[in-house]
Amino acid sequence: MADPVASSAEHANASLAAIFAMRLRASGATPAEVVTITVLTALVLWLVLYPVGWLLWGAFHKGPPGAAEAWTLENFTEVFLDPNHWILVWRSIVVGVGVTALATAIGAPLAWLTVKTDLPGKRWVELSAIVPFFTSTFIGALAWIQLGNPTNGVLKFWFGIPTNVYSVTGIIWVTGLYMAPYMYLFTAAALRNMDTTYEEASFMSGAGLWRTLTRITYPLILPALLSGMTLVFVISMGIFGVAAILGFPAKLHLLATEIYVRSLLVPPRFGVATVSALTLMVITAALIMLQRWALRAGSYALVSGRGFRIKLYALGKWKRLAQAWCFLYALLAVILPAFVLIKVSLQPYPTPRFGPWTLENWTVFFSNDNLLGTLLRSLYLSTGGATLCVLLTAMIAHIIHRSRAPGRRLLEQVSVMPIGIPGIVMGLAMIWAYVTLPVWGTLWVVILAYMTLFMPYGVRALGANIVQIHPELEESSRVHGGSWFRTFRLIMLPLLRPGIYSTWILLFIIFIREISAAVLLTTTGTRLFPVLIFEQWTAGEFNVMSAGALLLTIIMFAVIALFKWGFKVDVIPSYR
Amino acid sequence: MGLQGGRDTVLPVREGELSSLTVAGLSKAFGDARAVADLDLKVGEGEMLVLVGPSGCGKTTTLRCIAGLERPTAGRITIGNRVVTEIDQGVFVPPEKREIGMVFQSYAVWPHMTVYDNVAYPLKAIGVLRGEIHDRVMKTLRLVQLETLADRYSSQISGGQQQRVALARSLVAEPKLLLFDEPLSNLDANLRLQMRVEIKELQKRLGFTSVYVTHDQTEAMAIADRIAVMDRGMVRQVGSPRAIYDRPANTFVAGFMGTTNLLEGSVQEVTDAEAVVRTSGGITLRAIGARGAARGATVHVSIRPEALQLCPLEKPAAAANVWPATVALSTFLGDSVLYRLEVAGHTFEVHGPSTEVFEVGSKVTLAVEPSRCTLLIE
Ligand SMILES: Nc1ncnc2c1ncn2[C@@H]1O[C@H](COP(=O)(O)OP(=O)(O)O)[C@@H](O)[C@H]1O
Ligand SMILES: [Mg+2]
Repeated sequence: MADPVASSAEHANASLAAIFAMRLRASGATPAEVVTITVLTALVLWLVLYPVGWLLWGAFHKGPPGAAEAWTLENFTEVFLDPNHWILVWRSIVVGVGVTALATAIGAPLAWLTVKTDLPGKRWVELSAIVPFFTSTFIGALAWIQLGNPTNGVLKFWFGIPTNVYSVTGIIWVTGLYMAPYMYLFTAAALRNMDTTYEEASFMSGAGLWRTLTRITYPLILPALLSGMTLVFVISMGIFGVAAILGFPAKLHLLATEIYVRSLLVPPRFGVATVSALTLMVITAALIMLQRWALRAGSYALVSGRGFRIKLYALGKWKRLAQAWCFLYALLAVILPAFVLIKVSLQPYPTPRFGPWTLENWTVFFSNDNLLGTLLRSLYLSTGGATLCVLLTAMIAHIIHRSRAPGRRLLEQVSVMPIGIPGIVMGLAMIWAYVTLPVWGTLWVVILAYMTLFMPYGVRALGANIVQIHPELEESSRVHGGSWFRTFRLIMLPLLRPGIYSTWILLFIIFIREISAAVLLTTTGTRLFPVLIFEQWTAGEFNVMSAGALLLTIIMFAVIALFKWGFKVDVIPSYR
Repeated sequence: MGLQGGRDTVLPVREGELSSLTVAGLSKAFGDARAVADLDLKVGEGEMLVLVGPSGCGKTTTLRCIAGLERPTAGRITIGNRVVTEIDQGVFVPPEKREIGMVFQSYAVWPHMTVYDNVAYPLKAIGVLRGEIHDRVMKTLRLVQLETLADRYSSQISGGQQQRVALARSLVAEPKLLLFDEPLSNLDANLRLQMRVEIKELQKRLGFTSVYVTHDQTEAMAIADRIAVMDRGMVRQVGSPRAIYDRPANTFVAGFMGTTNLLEGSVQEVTDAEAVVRTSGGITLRAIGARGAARGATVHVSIRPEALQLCPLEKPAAAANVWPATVALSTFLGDSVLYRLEVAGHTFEVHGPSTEVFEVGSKVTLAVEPSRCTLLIE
């Protein structure tokens, strides 16, 4: 099979690498640094561009990956002339906008209340804003099916509330509920870093609370809000798990699920799936560019020195209302879902009633080799993958923030590009890129996909930690005889350890619960646990898979607890 | 000679002396901004050269270029007899191969290592034998009186002690050259004075060659063997603290190194060592440093506040330059009184003894010897 993408990419990489190496040496970098930067840049370029290049190539070809035939434009004409495609595009955008609005409406006020006011019980509010971040939208969707399905949902049966989660509204509701923590984290970080004297100066000038909030606080945290909203929009546009599990029963498709369905048709329609994937990616990439453009001038530093006191607003008579708001969120995102999942996992068949009870859904996990094996496989993959990804991103983040070498801008830009690649698109791209290679069918393909997709998270989280470390700590090693590599190993890595732990755990959690990139990539021998839950659930195993979802959640929180109390690591992710 | 300022000042180390650091034609640009512009420096064996200048004048950049932490845009740097940077030839030795020690402004004591490990680091990095390391570390720690704190971490010691750790770490490998970047600026005033003395004593005792950067002219004069005054990326004058203070080469140096009274005027007459200057305000004075001054040239004259004498009007002084003056302002400083005096449209700052106080508005006589009036051409 001809692979023009591969050979021209290789060629471009090779000459690019040569140019880099030359300019690097001219900038005063040592050979170790030159080699590291060159290799890393080549690796990252390859990780990101190789699959994406193949995806493009695939869109212009007839036939499935690995057996593609002639060049063609048929895929494009078929997809673009199909009115249904544009309905999907529209629906996906509606979901993206709706989720972003809902997540912001929930997350931003929660952040302001916990950071800036004298709200009582802040630790609990913070916890209920963080827990959904770790549990994932997919598990939330499983719970909300029990709560809000139109036939025998708990809400309808016990309280007479007519709800239908099998709808666009349902998808927006569940996704928004579980994306709210992103907005919470971004907003809280910005508020914490903001020097309170800006607000105090506003009060001193005679402005009231509302004026201060809208004229001072809001514009100052706007860049952070926009970054958060872009991320939420991009993730929710490409969300697969929720969309599939809530959309399929109502024959309701989004771009992401359409890609999945078309890839699994008999015979599969990879060509048109690829065009759908490209459509999705073009939208997300355009949005990211729009955000960059909007922020081009407005990225002022909010940090004005450490140790300033954050002024607390007295809530006064609003205290009860604020508490009620926080409790409502905890109830909808944590308490009710947890309750209903536990209930269903202890029952033999789906029912809103209490009883009959059974433990069989739980015991089956420990007696069925297939289930247990899948769970263990997911654990291995997440542990190994997170470790590799942390090592890779630590080096990338270090170079981005510390090196003066000319290639670092390129490295920075390429390493955050995957933010704009939805998981399912990456899955499809990996098929095109690797189906003919010997690694195909092994977990390595999945690890590569995950590392590429979530590299930006590692680079950002570690970058936020690196900028806290005074550059003179490294420079003083260099001056006193330490080579570049020795300095990285003996000074940077140990100082970065807390950041490395918290980034590792973030990546571990993301990896172990990830479904959209895995769903097209795993087959019988490489099945991962979330994919298994998805497939078994769609096959009707609601009760067993409720137990499965809980088991996954328990594992995630056990690991978090181990790090928090065992290694004393701050597990709340940090964002720039 | 060699007190002339300007960008082409190369103050040679005395003939025949081995120079330990030579910087020639050093330039460093960040984008379009020139931080260091064609700078030359020589530091002799065992000498302490202090780079002093206002904030942002390029001191740190110069030091970092010497250390190899910054790659200059142009220039040549030699440490001992080894060329460590020569941009034209593509020579750039990385910092770890330059055999230098450096004390940073933030101290940069590694928080994850004990005091002992911090100090042992340079020895391990250059591959000193295991058995030797302990002795050398302990010897150096004794030198800075830290031998009892060897097992502490940086969070468990004070700022002054961290400073000593940084000092010990820079000394332990017996480097060819020691670099200090504002090492005392994070200490409180008392400790700063004490550490200043200690660094100077260590330098005399161990005889290391060093470049010391500070923006504080008092610190510079107290600690330097020689001072290089920098402004906007250029060296404006190099010389001993005494020479710099008493014989500033230009108005910038005169103004930066301590307070001074600057009078603008034109040269009336030039003799061998002295010149007669008529100021814009119309007073005439005799000043030294006339070499290079031409008749009719516009010049400045610098007179230090403590060089001026105040006498009651009825008791005229015997100096060559004597003018009647009016007291415009007097500020009691404890050990002295600072006066502002009006003389023919000029304002003078003068230190007077606190034993004899002149009232505001009173008429006095102001006198100064020509040897304490310095003629400045720039
Ligand atoms: N990394 C850098 N990037 C851009 N400009 C810099 C950088 N480092 C220093 N400069 C600029 O170079 C000039 C000299 O800086 P510096 O050497 O730090 O001055 P000093 O130490 O005398 O206060 C300043 O104008 C400063 O803004
Ligand atoms: Mg400086």
